[in-house]
Amino acid sequence: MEMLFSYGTLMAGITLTVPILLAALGGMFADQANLFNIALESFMLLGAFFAVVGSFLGASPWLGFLMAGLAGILIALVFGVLVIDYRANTVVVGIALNMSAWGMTSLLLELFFGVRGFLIDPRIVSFPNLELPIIKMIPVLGKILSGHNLFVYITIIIVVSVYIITYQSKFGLRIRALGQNPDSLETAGLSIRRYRYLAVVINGFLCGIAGASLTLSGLSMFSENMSAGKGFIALAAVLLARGKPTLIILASIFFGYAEGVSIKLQGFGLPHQLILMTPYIITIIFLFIGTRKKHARIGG
Amino acid sequence: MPGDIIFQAITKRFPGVLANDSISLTIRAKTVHAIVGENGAGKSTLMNILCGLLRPDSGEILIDHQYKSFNSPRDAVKAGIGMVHQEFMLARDLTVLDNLILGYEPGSYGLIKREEARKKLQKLSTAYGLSVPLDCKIGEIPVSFQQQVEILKVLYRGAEIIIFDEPTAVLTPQETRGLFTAIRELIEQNKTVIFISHKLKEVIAIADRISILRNGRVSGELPVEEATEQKLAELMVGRKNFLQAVPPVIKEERAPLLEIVNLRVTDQAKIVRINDLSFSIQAGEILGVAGVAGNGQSELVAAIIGWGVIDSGRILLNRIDITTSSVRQRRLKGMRYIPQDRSMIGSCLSAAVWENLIMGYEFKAPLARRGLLNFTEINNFSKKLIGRFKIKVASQDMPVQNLSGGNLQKTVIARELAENSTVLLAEDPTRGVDIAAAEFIHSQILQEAGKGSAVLLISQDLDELLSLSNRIIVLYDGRIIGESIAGEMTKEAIGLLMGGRCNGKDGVDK
Repeated sequence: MEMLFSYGTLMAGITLTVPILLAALGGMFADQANLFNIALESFMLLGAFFAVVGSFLGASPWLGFLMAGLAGILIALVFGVLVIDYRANTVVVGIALNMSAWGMTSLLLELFFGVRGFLIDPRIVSFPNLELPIIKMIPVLGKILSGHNLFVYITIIIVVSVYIITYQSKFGLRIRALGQNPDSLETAGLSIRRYRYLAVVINGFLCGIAGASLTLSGLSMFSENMSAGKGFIALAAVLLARGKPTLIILASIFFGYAEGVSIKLQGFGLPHQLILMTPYIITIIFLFIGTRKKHARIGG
Repeated sequence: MPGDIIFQAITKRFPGVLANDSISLTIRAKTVHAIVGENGAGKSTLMNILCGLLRPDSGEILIDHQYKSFNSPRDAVKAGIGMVHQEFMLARDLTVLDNLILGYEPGSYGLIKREEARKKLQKLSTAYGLSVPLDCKIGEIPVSFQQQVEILKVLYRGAEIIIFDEPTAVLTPQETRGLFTAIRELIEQNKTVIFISHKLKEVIAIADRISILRNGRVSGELPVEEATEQKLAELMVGRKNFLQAVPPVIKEERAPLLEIVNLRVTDQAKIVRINDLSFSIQAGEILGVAGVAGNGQSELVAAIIGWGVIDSGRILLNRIDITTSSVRQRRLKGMRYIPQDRSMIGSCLSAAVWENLIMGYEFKAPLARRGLLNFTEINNFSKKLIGRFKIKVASQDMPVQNLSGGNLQKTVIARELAENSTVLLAEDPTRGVDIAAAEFIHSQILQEAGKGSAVLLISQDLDELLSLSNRIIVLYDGRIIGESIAGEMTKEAIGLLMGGRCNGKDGVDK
């Protein structure tokens, strides 16, 4: 019990929430545009890889951040062209992208850096940890709020922005209208295609930097298939929250925290595989509850 | 006159169809101009051209003596044209306010100034006597309010010319009167209204001038003073003499073929959809079910046909309890169903005409022997049905998605009535089909009852219910709120009951 709420678990939970939350926020935009995107995983993996490439080349995490975002946008555009313009099945495209992203990053790893499996290099620079002045002086709370990696604070800024975009901006209103009734957008003289693409681009960018958060918030390394299912956990959050940013945040924190707990549990000699399954089982249970509610709505 | 809209020889061709064939038409400013015509006459195409959703192949539109050409709906909006669509263009989970301003949000830097919009909307709704709850979600307000939202939306966008596309299809008679009051208010305030409909009574009640379209051409135009329903119908269909459907007279008491006993259905959200409902239909009888959509009709159909889950109650077919029987068992006992949604439930769109016709008969003799299809028999079977039901089809191997609405509906009905039925459920059987097809479908339903079937007719079209049914029940909130035998209940009375009012009192229990 103590371990569930220990300081270490909390800090690990916050760190583990970041990639899931960023990817889920990205996925939310595609979901609002009625695009069922299961390729979040591949967007993240590509982002993770190019974050390392950028940081390596420029000796700066910011270049890595930028390249991760761009890589995410590029692969998202591939998804967009196939799904929006060529009306390909989103699931088929998603599976193809997920599989090819794994192969592609492994191949590029070997071509660029001549290594297999993983890359560790002192020239890869992570974002620093940040001690917040004044705030860190606050007892208990200061210890929780301060001292995280810069990426955590970037995420907070992004969360606030996404919230404002969703509810206070013209773009947010239009994308929500698009998801519920595309005709409402079209009769207002707006291009459905354009808003779908914008949603996909934002989706790509946020998933790309979610990938960067895996490699550049202290770890400073890339390993094969580094996203390891986090994109699917993010997708679960998207499906549970159905376009509500607040619910996305809560679901992501929950999943992140569950992962933190499962890592801590490893120290207690529980079977490794069982622990790895935990977040997924929780996801399945939550999806079960979530979809049951949805069915009830259709019945009504 | 300033503000007149002039269509000059508008032509629009779709693959295989000449939707608008050189249509010329003048709509006078500050009047209600009705455009009537059957489905496929070209009304919607013409209006979609006027509001910028389609571009004509040739021809011009003049507004206020100026040539206009619209590349997008935004251009049409700029020219002062707004359309209240038949299917509302609203997002259910957004607030009324957000729906109203969508695409024309006030504000800068990409952010919305909702307070500014609210002020403007409040001013507009006071000016036009429309009251909509700005902060409710669209899904929470009734259909008639949603229509007001659509009207307010076009006014917010600055429309001077307002097109109503089949606006009364979703309304009760009382709500229709409310709509007409709103339309007259628009004319008072110097707007021009174009009213698209095929309900002739309503057209005569609201329009100043009426243009009739047939097969993509203008087949007539007359001021309302000269219009009668008969005359308009002739111009719409192009021939005289209509069969007036007459429900069969039932003299003696016969055995009930369908009995519903204390039926109760709640949905998964624990909302009671059908509340202790009982009725029976005897052989040869047509029981009409009136009611605003969503008052238990679909749950009732689902329970009878056998795919719905019920809480309690019994369903008897020819005195045999079928409450727990499967859909197939019920069909084998002679239950037949003409669904409201002919393309999703009534047919398989990508399957051929003959395949759709044999569904449900394909597993038994003579169409199948020892599990194999007998194509000679199938060919005869489907040819016979195509002939008997006058289905216009180039080849029976064609997928049914290529059929027009009326012919698809006839295909569904042909299959359902291929053998004599015991009980026939017909749900909006003539929705969206033209007058000729509707007339034919009505005669088939009457014939089926004449042969001794018990017919449950659920319809949104009160004229249809009144002309076919021996008896009518009105559903409200999952209960029978009123019942009468043919000819004893007026349309007005049914309308009041549909709105939940019984004996002049408000029957809404909330």
